Amino acid sequence: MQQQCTVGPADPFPMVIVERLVKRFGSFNALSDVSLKVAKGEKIVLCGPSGSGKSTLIRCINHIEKHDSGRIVVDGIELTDRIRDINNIRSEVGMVFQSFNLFPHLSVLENCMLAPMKVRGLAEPEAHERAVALLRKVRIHDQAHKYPAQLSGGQQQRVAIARALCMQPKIMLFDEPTSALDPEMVKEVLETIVELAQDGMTMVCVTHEMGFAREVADRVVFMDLGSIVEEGDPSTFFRAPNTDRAKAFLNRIIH
Amino acid sequence: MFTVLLEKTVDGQRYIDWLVSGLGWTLALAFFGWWIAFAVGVVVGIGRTVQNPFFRALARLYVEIFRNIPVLVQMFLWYFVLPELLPTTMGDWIKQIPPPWGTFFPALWCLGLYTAARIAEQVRAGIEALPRGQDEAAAALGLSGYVTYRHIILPQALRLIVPSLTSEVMGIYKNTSVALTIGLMELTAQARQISDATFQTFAAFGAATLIYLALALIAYQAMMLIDKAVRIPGAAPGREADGSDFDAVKLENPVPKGMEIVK
Amino acid sequence: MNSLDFSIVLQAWPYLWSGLLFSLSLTAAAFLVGMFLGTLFALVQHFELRVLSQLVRSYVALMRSIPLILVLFWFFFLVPIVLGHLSGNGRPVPVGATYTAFITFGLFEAAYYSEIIRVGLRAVNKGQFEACQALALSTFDTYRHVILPQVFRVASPIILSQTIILFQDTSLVYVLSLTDLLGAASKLAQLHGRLVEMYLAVAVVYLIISCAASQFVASLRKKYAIAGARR
Repeated sequence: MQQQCTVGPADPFPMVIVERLVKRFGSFNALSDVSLKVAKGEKIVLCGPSGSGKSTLIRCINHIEKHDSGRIVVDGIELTDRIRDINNIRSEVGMVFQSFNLFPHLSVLENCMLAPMKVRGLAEPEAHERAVALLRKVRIHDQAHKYPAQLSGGQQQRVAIARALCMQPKIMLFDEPTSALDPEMVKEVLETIVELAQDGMTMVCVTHEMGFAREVADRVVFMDLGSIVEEGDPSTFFRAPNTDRAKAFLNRIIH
Repeated sequence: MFTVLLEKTVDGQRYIDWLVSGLGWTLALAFFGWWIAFAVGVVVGIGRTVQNPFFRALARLYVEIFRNIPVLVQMFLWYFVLPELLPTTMGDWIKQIPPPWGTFFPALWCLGLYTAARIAEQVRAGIEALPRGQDEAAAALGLSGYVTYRHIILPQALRLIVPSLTSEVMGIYKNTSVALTIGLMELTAQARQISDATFQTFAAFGAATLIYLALALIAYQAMMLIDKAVRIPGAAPGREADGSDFDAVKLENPVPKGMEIVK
Repeated sequence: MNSLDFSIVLQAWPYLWSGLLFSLSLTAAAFLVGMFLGTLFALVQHFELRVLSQLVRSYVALMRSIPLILVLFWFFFLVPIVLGHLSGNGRPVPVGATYTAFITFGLFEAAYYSEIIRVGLRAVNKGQFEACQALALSTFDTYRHVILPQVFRVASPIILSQTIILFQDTSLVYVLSLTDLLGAASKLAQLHGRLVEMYLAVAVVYLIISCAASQFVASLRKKYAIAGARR
């Protein structure tokens, strides 16, 4: 386990394999020739300026964006156009969005129970039990019967994390989970994610929170203009980035 | 299919002449009714927004009454009931107006005043959607209430509600067919008469349907042009001004995008 | 001018009441059928199913461009023929004005409801669809449990306003000589020569019902305006 950081690319059974991925929006190349492997239990932080393709990359992994060419394999399942593959992958991959995307007409508890019942086929008592347990884990079980609009942004995002966890995913994707939050709520959400990391969850997180990256990331991947420019362990990356682009980026966000 | 329309009728015309005559009444009702509706609607709509509580209540009463009674019932009230409620001489005079004017005028008032209530609500919504600052800026300039409404509020509010006015134009134009219930031989009535006389129901109703469709298209295009013509340079396209984030403009458009296919 | 005598209205009340019940049941049936078909139509357009969505769009445009009375005449003429073909022997099936009215209003209102729901579907935040995808919900579950409930909720004031208009429009079955509230009043009015009293009474009944209903819609609108902070 302590060799995790270096295991990443060499792991014979990685959780996620992304190979030569290309994604275009019209004539704009959002991703050009991106390859990345995520080992089981590995925590990766994706960073880079806006428009660098980092969100697009994780959205491709569970096929919310459809890639144009290249391969994606999640937990041994190759992502094709077949609905079965897509749904198999999606039910193993949890995703947390920048804007929470909770279902406003359902209570916190119902938000968490819907997919396990409809996709996993759980009976209501089991789904309920699981939802309560995970809401307790993100410390929001006392709000279980409220509706999303009655919660603060930080609380909503923690519900969104619990909702994703209720599917018992093998990997969690976070798409700028704290960017839409007021500063005082960032901490409570990051703490939740850190705890999740300590439990051994595999995760890929797009974020600009560098303190968080230092604390949990096994690897930092820096993207710019649709390509991976540099990757490395956080202490090296933040202290002495190799490329000028990474240096420029770090200068901008630190100052 | 439509050759029957060229056949001679009992009165020596061709059936198509009946349709044209019906179309004439439909258009006359819609056109003149619209101007009544617009004039009354703007006044009542303003009345809904003024400070004076008496005028506000009066305007509200108007809207509630005319909007909440079916247009067909209103048609009967104008045609059957009004002459009976007026002093006998006046009522008798009304009853003796020769056809078709004896049915045209009640239908005209009916449609005009019914549609006015609906326009009043749009005008009110348009006025309420304007930023508060407009009011205050006018007051700061020392403008009177009348000048403020005439030159500041109304020009902006009316521009704002052009899309929803489009749907009221379509509404009054479709409602003209209700006039057949008091015996006005407008387009739908003529189509039915042709159908009864020739048993060529497909041709008769089909022709009327095509005419209604074509006119709806023309009216819709005309209102689009007006919307474009009166738009304030730099302003967003007009949208219904009820302040909801729900895209109600498209709801109110009587001829949705699908119209293009029919074209 | 004859003196008015509203006692005739009280005597006629049971008959008017049965007419009103007919108006209300026509409204309810047209609402249910219209909402069901309208939702289907809206979904067909939302999914952009090629031929089907073109057909639906043309149908909706047609229904919204011609007067309801003409539609009633069309259906009064067409329904027996179509049913005749469906039943196989090709001879027109006499269905009667009542069934015609129910069929017509259901199909006609579907066009109006479908526009409301179609726009409502477009107004749903893209993130809602993405969240459903990320949770691997099937398309059916996505619409059944997440998207449509939100659409119905947001659009409910407009749907209800449309239903009030529908209630008023049911009076147009007068042209099929049916005995709805107005039809009942009209028949009695002519029988007793009491047009003024009957028509005024009917106007008041419609006024009260529609006013109460729009008051309810207005309160609903207000409620949603406050909950507007929901997003």
